[in-house]
Amino acid sequence: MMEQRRDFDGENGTSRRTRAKGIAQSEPGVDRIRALPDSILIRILSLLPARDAARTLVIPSFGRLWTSIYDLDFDWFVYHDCSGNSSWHCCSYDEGALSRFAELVRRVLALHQGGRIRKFRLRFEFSIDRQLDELMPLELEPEELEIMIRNGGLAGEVNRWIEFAASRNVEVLDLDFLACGLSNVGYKYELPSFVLQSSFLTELKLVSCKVNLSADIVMRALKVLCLKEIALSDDSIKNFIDGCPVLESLTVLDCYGLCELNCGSQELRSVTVAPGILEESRVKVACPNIKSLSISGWIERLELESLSSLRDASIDFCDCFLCVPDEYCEVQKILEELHHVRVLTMHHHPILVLTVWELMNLPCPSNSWQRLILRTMLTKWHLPGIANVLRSSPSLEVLVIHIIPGEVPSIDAQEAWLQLYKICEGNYWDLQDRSFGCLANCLRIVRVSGDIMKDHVIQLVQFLLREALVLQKLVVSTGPNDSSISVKESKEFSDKLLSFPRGSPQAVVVFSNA
Amino acid sequence: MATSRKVTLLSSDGESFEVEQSVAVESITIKDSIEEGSAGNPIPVPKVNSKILAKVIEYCKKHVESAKAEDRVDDEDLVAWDADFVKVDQATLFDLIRAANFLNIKSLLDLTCQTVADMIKGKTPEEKRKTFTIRNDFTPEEEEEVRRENQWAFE
Repeated sequence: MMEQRRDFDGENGTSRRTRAKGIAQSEPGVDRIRALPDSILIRILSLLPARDAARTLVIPSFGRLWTSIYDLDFDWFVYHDCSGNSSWHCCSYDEGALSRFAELVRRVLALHQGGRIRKFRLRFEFSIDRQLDELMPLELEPEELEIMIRNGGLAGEVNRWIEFAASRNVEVLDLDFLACGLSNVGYKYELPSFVLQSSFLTELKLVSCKVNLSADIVMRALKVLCLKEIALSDDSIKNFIDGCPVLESLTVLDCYGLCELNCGSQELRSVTVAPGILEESRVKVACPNIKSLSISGWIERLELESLSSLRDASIDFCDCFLCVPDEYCEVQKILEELHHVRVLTMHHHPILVLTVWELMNLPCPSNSWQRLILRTMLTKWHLPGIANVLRSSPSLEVLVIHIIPGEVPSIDAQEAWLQLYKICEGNYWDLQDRSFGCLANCLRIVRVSGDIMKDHVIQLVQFLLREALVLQKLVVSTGPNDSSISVKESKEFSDKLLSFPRGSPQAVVVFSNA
Repeated sequence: MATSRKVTLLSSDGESFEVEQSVAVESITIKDSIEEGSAGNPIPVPKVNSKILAKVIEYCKKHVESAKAEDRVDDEDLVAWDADFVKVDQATLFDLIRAANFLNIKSLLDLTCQTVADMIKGKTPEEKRKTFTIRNDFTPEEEEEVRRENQWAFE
């Protein structure tokens, strides 16, 4: 008792031990966290990964509010961080991380008090190798083994976690059982069928699990569906589409067995599809009412049909693009199918194809693209491609170039291919003598961002400023992660930029170093 | 061409702000009271002082303007503008949270709450206490016990 009185400093309204810790108090006795209503604190805590939210239990101001969060985000990244490794590094299975991760999920779910869960996310590499090692010596019958694997051990636990979320009427379910693991290897988790019969789900994302395709699929409220690395059969996509009458967005990536993507629904607005490397047959995409289409992966397998309502599209290929000239006719066909969209996004592989066409004097298919978004590195191999598309796009009003870091494509096969084509050194744009229709007549806005501290960038920007006669605005900004640019470099760049002659008298030039 | 209607908002400390109705109705609270016909003129905004109300109006104006702009490229601009908008001292940030909650402006509430969440994420309890000037803390012994009982969260 005596200790408490000595401890509390009545005059200043603070406890001595708080001041002794040297904590700065801008206003005496103010605890801003406690002053906020519980509903807002729960809202803030729900924005945190589950482990961070749980850790607020050591701070009395938060009390036990963390047990009422309505978004549960469990990502094993906090126990297994392999982001520093190169993309070719294979992680050996991290049993320790799995066991700490599973304990976290168990505890959080056991202590959770809120009546409702809006979003439930799991991301970890599902592996039952250890369980199989234990079961093998028992020499069980195949059916018995099957039951043990499907309902016992890790799979059984994951079933219970998902049941927990479903019992709280979860609306957004994001389940990634692959994480950083190798795809298409090992025994996959089988998703319980009741998930595909939920009337509460509005968004479902599944990565690398088995889906029981013979069961009924009825998700009356589902608006967003994303499937990645899921084995499908002929009718399965049709079953998904038929069972989800209000579906607005469909994404199918690397799903072996996808044959057709037909949807005449008025609700479906956007489709993203990337045929995987194992895909043997053609994949037909026929969705006459969609507004937005994004394709990547092995696009040679794609057959696009009836896309009359399409307004924006995005195109990319996978790294293992076989650079045989005949195969480019697939790309040409696709660009022709997309000639009428308003907004086109191109990643760096398609631009390299445009470069090859430019060097062979083949134009990019004529089009009516109004806005072009390029997400690419900017090397000398990309410049002819950019020139090609600018020349072939007479309706272009807005050009956005986001420059990703990187030099020549990294795979040896592609390096060899690129050496076949002669590209002059020096300022590519000074050598251009043909006219660029869109620059003279309609290009009004240019935005360049990302890894901009490169000669190619400054030369391209100089060219655009000179030739774009009706330009209204040019914005150049550094990327969000570019902390390496010094103030001096930034000033030099900005000065140079502002000194370039402008073909359009009303052009406004903005340089932003965020 | 629609006539631009203006409304007047009155802060808790008696200052008046004239704004377009389209900006004012970013606040569902204000929108509802206008539609119900129960809004006075000027519309009183209790609990929100002039300094904070000015900031809220600035936010709503920017977002209404951006929604009108044809060029969707400005989405990136808006994200950068929002990031700058919340670079304020803590007292102001928390006042903005309360104002956004009372006035029911979802996007502002999301933005400000996310800012606080980002301040919490990844910090140790000690760092959190320093950031938020929290009082009535556990004693070191009490904290040790809570941690021990909940070791799973600190693995």
